[in-house]
Amino acid sequence: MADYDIHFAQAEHNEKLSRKLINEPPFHDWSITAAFYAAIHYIECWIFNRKEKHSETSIPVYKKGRQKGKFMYSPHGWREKLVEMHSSKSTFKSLRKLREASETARYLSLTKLGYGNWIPSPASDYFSPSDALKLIKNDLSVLKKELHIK
Amino acid sequence: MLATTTEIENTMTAFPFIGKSFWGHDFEIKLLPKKKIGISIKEQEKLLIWSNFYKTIEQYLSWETFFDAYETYSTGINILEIPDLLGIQIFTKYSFDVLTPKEKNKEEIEQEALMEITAIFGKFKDVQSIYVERFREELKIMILLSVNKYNYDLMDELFDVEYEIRKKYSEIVFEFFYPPTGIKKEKDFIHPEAECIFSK
Repeated sequence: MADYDIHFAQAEHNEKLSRKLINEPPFHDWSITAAFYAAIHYIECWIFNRKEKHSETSIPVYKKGRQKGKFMYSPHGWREKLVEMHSSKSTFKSLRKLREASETARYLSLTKLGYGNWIPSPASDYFSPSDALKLIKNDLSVLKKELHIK
Repeated sequence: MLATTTEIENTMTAFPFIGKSFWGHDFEIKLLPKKKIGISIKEQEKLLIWSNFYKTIEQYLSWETFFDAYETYSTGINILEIPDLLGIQIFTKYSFDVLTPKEKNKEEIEQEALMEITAIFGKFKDVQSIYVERFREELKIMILLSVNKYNYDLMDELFDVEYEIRKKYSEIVFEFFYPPTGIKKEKDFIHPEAECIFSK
């Protein structure tokens, strides 16, 4: 299981890629995904300095009822919950924006966009390069700042 | 109208009254230790009559005071002083200590949350429909957007709402998704057993 330094190195690596891909349309949509995975590792850095240490090993389980013993959250859901409970609203929003945009960029089914008509264009048309830039310059930066990642 | 301390104490000790129909909640008002008047919501415990509650509010407190107290409770601020109309001797001794609501069951909380989700997200021009999928104990909320280009500012506003919902209903495990879609293609990715709670 990775410790702070490893998460941090991976986060920086992912962030560098995200900044590089912004300038390489039509692959700017992948810069969003790289930024989201940078955010994940920055959050793991933050969690490492908390009592939870790692998101994967601290997911709470149901104590009673039909779901007793089962995980309450997915790993993504648990990270979001930790951020929601213990960090700022802006951190939460930044993380959510990055995750949502990243999932849309990866899983976007393009037939869904045209009110019944096929749109034969990829996610790089759905997200403009300036959208990707905002997600990285605004949200990834806010997240790092709010989590005191240096 | 001013009331004496004894009158107020007698009246408040005569509580709890439960007003079954008041804003859809059950209320109990009681005199708490350390001379604080509390408002809490409980089930049919120590049921008295609504008219006594109504009369006491009218006679000693005023509805404005009570609404203020309820509003204060709603916003999470716990203390509200009784205003001057009760007389100096009284209002210096009392304050409203607004307690937590009665424990609702899981289904009631979920229903309330879904109603709020519908009411707030439904106001967005670009929110076309809202579906709920249930996975284990989790509510997966699919908010379908009628957009064909990413809208950063719209998402910013939607996440404001999501944050408030999550904070308010912290006991519920949520997942929110905002797929861009057109209405004719929902069946491509919305599970047939998903519950549609809003549609334009």
